[in-house]
Amino acid sequence: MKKYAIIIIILFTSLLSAQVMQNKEPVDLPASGSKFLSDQIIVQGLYIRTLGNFNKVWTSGSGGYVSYGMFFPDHNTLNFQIGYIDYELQEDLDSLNGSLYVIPLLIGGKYFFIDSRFMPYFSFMNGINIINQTISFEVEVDADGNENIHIDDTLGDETLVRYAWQVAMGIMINVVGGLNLDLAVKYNAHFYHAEAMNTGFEYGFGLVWSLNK
Amino acid sequence: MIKKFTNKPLVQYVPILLFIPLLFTSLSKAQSNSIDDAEQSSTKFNNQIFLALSNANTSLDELDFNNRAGLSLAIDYNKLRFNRKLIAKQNSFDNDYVPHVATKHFWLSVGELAIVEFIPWAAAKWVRDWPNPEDNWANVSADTWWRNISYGWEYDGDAFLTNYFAHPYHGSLFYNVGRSNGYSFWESTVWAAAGSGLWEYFGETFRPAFNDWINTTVNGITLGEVLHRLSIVVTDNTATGSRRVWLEIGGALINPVRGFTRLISGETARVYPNPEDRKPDDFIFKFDVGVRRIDEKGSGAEFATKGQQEGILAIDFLYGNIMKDDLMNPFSSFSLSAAIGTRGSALTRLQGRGNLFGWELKNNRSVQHRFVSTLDYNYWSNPGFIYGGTSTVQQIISRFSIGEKTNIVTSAGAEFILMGATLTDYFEDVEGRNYDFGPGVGINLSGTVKSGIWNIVRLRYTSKWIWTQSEPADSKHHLHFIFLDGGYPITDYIFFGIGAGVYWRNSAYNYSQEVIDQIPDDQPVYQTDVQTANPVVMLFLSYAVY
Repeated sequence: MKKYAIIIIILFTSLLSAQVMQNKEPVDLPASGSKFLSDQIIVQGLYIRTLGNFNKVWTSGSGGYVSYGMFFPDHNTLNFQIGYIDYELQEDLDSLNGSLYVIPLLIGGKYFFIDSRFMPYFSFMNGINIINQTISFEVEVDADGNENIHIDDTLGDETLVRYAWQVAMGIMINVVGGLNLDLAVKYNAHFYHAEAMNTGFEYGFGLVWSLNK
Repeated sequence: MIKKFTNKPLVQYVPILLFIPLLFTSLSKAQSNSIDDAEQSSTKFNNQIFLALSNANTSLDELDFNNRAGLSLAIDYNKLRFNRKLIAKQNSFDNDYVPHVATKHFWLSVGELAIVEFIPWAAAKWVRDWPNPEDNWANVSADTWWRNISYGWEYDGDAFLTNYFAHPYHGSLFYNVGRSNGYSFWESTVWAAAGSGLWEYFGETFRPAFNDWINTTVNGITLGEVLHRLSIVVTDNTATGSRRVWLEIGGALINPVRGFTRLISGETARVYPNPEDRKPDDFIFKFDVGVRRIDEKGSGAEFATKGQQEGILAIDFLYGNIMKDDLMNPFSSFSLSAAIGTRGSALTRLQGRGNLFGWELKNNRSVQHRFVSTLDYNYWSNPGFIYGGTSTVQQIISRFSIGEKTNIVTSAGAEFILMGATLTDYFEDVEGRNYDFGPGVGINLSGTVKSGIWNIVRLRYTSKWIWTQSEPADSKHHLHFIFLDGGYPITDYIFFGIGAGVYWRNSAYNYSQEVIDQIPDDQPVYQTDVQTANPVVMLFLSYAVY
């Protein structure tokens, strides 16, 4: 039954759309200039709640970003982002006294849905994470599919470079002049080890200076 | 005995059942918009121009419809007996129509994206016969979605054809969801990435595969833009009658998403001006038939006695001219080449390449240099080796004129491989992956003596380094391919060619003892360094159709 319902919805949506699309549609006029969007400098604090196997060792992270956004009409910015993130061990692993910090170097873009005082946006960033750690862990999957975590706290300082990937939904709120508030929820899928990706939800709060506004 | 009714056969035809009513509704509209051919032929017109317009189904743009002055010179209006059909014909040409792609259609794109995601998912869930229902990767649920979000990326174990053809093709559909609905080249890349990301996280029970996301998105962009432009070349907005019907069907087969969008926007049936850049100044469509002999084992020495011989059929599209066109207009110049072979994988080669951006460095009558950044898609699968590539090449292309129609064209480029794939010597995944994945870099060099459209002599060399990221990850590969080909143009359209070359691979493995212990018994004995060489020779006949 469900299948037929889906088929009917698709068919009728298409036909309805066909009717609507018969009408001539006006061409968008070129933007004469944005009201609130321009080149930006962003300073943002962040808190990360990790997920999956990574969370079994490193439970959360905190830090900040500085980014520069280059405005492209009508609603886009090209962003360059650098930051620092320090991760916290799970409570039961505190005795290991390990540390893991990440310096992300990311490039990507934001699409602002509207150019107004309240500007919701979608962003995609990717690049590399420079990871420094004093303990490492790997996940071994046995024949029955059980996952066993092996922690190595004898390696001293180790530096890794891994690909990083992040999508976000956020809102930028113009406060006064060129000053804006920025709130964002991000999903991170950073590479770490094959069975232990550094995944997590990131919450960001920051200030944005719109240049030339 | 009560026979249990099954609706499975019906469900198998869901995409066709959906498509047929839409197609026929629109095509009947296309017919009704055009002048009824039979009725026309029964009416005696004394104006030859009008007969040419209506009965021969001649494309209006070929008659320079906008050149009203020219048309009025050709027709003595005072002598015309105006017929209502002539008026209808002229009225049906909607010069003021604003094309669908002139504005962005976000929600229509979202709807089409949902359809493009839904059809293969539904086919897997309800149509495909799974010997073990637990293997059905389409049985997604909130639990599998959350697991995929929590655990993130991995590299999958799919066969080469799936990862380097099926996924890029699916990506081309995602890309064209945007491209057919008013989004630019760069904007449509977001649709490809988003469509692929949604599929990886929510369309399958498996963890999202990073290689799929890259290949579907980036190769999907290459293939998508190529198919978008080719379908524009094929369709003709000014055509009417049966010619229009066939052109619309052809365009929809090349680019189904654009075909569907034209269908529901009413453009399939509307007569209106073609886009100015519908046909590039330079366009070549040719096909080759020939034979190829290649060393299958990779030993090189046994090529003469144990090489594999196969027949090859290839088609090539060369759109635009990279030495003439505006390089800042992405894919204003591109090539698409596909070949099928009689042994091994039927699809033996698929290559797409288009300019992303670039600029002129020097241009005078005898010498020209251009910097060009291209997006490259490579699929090579033959009895000797496989190579898959998703890359961008930064190159300097030079032309040295040595005759009226003869030039030497050279190219030197640095390649950045986002996702490369090459054979591994020790493992084959249960799902068929017998190759390693990873990013890499490469150099590409070529020199060609060209006469007209033909390569009289051409020498190409490429070298690529790939660092394996898929498990087991501790290996790296250095690939080389050198090929010399050339021939003689028998006529302006027929060319006899011959070519010879060598592909060779140096692979370095640094597996732990734990990994070495897992190498199956039927695989070669583990060595840290492996060299293979596959010589190849070929003979072919090319025919330039267009």
